[in-house]
Amino acid sequence: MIDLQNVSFSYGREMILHQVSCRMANGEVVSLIGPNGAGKSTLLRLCARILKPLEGSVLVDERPAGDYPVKAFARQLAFLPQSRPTPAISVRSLVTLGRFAHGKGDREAVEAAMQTVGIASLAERDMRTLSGGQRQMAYLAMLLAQESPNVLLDEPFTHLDISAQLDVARVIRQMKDAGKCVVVVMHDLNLLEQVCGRAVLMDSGRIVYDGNAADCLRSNALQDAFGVRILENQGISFAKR
Amino acid sequence: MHEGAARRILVHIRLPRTVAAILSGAALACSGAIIQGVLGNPLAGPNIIGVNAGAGFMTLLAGWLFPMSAGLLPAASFAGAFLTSLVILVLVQKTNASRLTVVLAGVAVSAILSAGTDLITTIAPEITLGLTAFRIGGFSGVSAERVYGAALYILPGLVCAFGMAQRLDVLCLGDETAQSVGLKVKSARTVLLLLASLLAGAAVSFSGLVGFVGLMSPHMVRRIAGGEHKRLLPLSMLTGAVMMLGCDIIARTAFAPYEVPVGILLSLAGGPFFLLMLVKGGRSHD
Repeated sequence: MIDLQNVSFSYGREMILHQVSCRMANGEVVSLIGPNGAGKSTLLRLCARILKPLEGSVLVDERPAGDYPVKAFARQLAFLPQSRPTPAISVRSLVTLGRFAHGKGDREAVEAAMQTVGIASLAERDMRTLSGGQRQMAYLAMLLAQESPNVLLDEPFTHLDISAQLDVARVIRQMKDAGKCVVVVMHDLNLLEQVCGRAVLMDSGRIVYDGNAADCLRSNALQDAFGVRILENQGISFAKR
Repeated sequence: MHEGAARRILVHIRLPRTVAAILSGAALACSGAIIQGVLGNPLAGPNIIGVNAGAGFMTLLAGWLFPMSAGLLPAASFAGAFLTSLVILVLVQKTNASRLTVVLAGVAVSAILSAGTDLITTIAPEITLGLTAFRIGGFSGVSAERVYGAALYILPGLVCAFGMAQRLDVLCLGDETAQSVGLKVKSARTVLLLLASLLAGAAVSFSGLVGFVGLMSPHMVRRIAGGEHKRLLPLSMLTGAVMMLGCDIIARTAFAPYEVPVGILLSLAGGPFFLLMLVKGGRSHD
């Protein structure tokens, strides 16, 4: 569970987040949406302790995030940033690194994570030889192997084709079913309803909508935040064949 | 030849020289693999980013200021290597420098340190004896005392590096992911850089400024055995040691009775290798 209480943040004099409060529970997938520069990724990085809040507090499982030792925090919360280098190691080695905070490789957890995500057949492949979608799945397996009850994903659908996007959506639902608290920053609103039940819409560093994802898509807040008009009955949805 | 003389040559000249080549090759290759992992830059290596030059400058400075303290040289060499590494690390962290920027910064740092070396030799011309050999790098005049003294730094350093292999793997995931899986990124990076500086500094203290082993060995191994550091580090050490020993044997025998400093051979091989990497790197960025 992640609880943000009146969190503000600035880069120098430029305020990025203004007194943001939000509580995200276990067994829930929450998507952070909003226009570019709304503060979504900043919020995620504050939850992940990459950044420190200017004001307010971030609680992870009822305890201030800053109070956890580094490895203990990794066992509570896993974060996948949007951009990252591709290491010259095998998929299995990558997934094994998810066990770093546990102090041992734990082969069973690694194999189970690869099975869950559906990349067991790629275990010995070099990460550099995989497609973008396969790499993303390998990183998701690493996150699963970390066995943290809270998971943060920053734009996990970016640059993926529709099939790979649906694979990622499936893994996110599996995380939810396993009782994890999953927070996803996403831009593709077509996937919103498939991925999560709750949407938090941000604009200019403030939360302007927090509620049902389907309702969010038809809300005035969404139209105002993005400066767009919703065309009724012209939504697009996809299903995996 | 008298048996006693042959034995003395073996024990006091051949053996230290062989050990020197093996230790220097292994240390520089391991240092290169660590630096490449820490900076996330396959173009980095102890000689490319100026670490060797820093070690060389401080060795000369210590030799000038404290001419009677030969035991001080590895420590001075390490200090020079570490300070140079620190400058490069700060540059990378503060400016989010690209791979080529790091290389260019290394060129600038090396130029400054080279000017410092020239300044010392101008002020104190008496220490220029052997300077040319030191700058090129080689093992012709290496003494057992210096090699075995440096081994006290190198051998534990190699063992420690192997113990930190998984941390290097985690660092290769990028800072944010590394922190997310539970690594103290800044302290791990500093410790690893200290280790790489210790290895490069100790090697330079007796072998001089031999270049490119630290760049080439990890690269060759990474292509064949992948980038996982529990394999990359020991295989790079082995490759570096074999490469250095092989080059030293060629340097001694190819133009006999003359001897070519091993640094010349390594630069002849390493220079084109580095240019090839730059071209390949440029293409991949395109």
